[in-house]
Amino acid sequence: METVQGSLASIDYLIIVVYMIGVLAIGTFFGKYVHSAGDFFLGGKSLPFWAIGMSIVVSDIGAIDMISGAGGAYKYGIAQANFDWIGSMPAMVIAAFVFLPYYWRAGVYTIPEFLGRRYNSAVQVIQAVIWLFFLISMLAIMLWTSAVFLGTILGWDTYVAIWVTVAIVGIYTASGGLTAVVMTDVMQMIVMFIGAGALLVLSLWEVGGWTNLVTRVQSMGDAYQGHFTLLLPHSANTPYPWTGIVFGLGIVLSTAYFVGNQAVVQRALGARTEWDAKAGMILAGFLKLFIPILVILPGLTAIAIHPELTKADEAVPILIRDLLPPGLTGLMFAAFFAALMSSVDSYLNSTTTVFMSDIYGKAHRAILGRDVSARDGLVLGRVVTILVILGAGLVAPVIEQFETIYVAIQTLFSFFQGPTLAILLLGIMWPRATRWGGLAGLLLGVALTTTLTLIGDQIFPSEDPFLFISFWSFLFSMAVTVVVSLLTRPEPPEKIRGLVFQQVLHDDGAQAILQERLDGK
Amino acid sequence: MIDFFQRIGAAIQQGLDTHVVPLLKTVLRPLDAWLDSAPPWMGQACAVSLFVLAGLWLLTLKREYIFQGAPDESRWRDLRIWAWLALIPFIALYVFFR
Repeated sequence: METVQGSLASIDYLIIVVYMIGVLAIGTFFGKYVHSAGDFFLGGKSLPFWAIGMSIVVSDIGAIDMISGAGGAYKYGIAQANFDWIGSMPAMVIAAFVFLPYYWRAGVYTIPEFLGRRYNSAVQVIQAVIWLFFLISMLAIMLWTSAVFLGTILGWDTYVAIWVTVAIVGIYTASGGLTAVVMTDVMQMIVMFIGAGALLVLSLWEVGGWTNLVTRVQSMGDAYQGHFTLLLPHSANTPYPWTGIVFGLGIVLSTAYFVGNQAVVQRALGARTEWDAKAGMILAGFLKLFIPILVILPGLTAIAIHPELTKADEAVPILIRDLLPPGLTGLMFAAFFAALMSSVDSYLNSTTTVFMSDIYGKAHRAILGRDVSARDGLVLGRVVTILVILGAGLVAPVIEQFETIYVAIQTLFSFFQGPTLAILLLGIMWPRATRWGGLAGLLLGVALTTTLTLIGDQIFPSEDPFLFISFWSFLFSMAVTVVVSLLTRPEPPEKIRGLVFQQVLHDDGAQAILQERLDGK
Repeated sequence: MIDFFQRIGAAIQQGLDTHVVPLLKTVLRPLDAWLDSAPPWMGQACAVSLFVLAGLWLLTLKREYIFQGAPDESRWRDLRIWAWLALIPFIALYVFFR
């Protein structure tokens, strides 16, 4: 990997240090507003839409994404942008107007908790265990891969990079909970947009503007003719043919991500009103428009400036070295840290919330017959936050021993995306869906995804057909849930009242029940 | 122990290759052939449709559902307008980048 260590000036180091101190100060400042578990996990339900929207966007982009996004554009072209364009806005509209209002009105802390209310405890616990495994693994992976990358190009010791991140994020997340996470995310998004924007403007200036960029890249030969095509043919030998992009990504994976990812949804659950929850998601969708422009376009400009690169992921480090003046280089690295910390704090807060709500809280209720008190929930939430981030920091170096662990965990997690969306969708849209239908849809859907992953290269036309696998597993899980539900006894109306979409739109009684739940009566 | 699980895995893979792959190929090949021969505008139309359908669906929702929780019902708080303003640039991108 290209290093820019030698090109960093004192002003760059100063900017990075000031930025880190600023994040720590803002994060811990919000600790004084945290007095209960509700304040800690859901920000006291006081978050405004603009903070929610900015936090969702920045939590979704990690430091490695900024590098690999540009690297993907260098290699595959603008088709890489689909993940933030068609892979965001349609799903975010559905999330904002179908799912979030129900999570928010049901007064739940987590997605597994909602599924537990709609179906049964087995579905809740399975989902919670899956999420905990995924979130903790991702925390360790994010810490390690980002520290290796930042260590390589900045010349820092990898362990120093890990423990600096652990210390800063751990202190402000344990102190201020969700509010601290969201408010630091706001600052981090601004820094990220300014840093990445500076690189974009200077790299476009270097190639002579957009028109010159297109002309220069397309004149480089047949291999570059598709670099400005968003939707590639069905038979194209890439992971991104249009059929996979539209049906696998646009319909299934993106919807599963934005309606089922605890790290995304938790911000909206902390909204001060239902309107803020919806507006925050729509604002986030709009801001996602700019992510490919900021992250992917520099990768395309690198083709024109440095067509000789053998490693696509070197595109951004080389552009930083060649184009950014002192000061802006520091800001760009502050942007990398912003991307890293905003993802780590979100996953950390969500891990703690799922553990406390769906594992500890459920066990506490089952054994002692009562809920965890607000005060105990706060103290335990802080302790678990610190333990989780310390654990992730200790486990992070293990990632080095298993190079394929990142791919394995991503693949394993993708097994649950289609089936989870299917049972969530039917649970909210179809009153007849039963607990046994949901459980069967989840388990058999995961079984089909596993099967298709084993034989996918033989039956699907594209390279790495994960988009097709998610689409078919989603359809299959829907079918299983419907069939098993029709064969089993319907859920009692009082159990699902207020948890099904059409009821809430047209049934004043259901609205009243939701309001009572929200008021905690 | 590892050897045992490897043998189980190999047996499962062989069973899938022998029995499941031919069956799924029979089902999916005609679909692949049809999609291969589909005109280039079809992908673009499907992509744009996702955005347009999401926006049109919003227009069917009741007004009070859109404004639920808002301090007032002033026009700038109408989230249908927000959503359409956000959707239009995306639609333009998928029309522009064929």
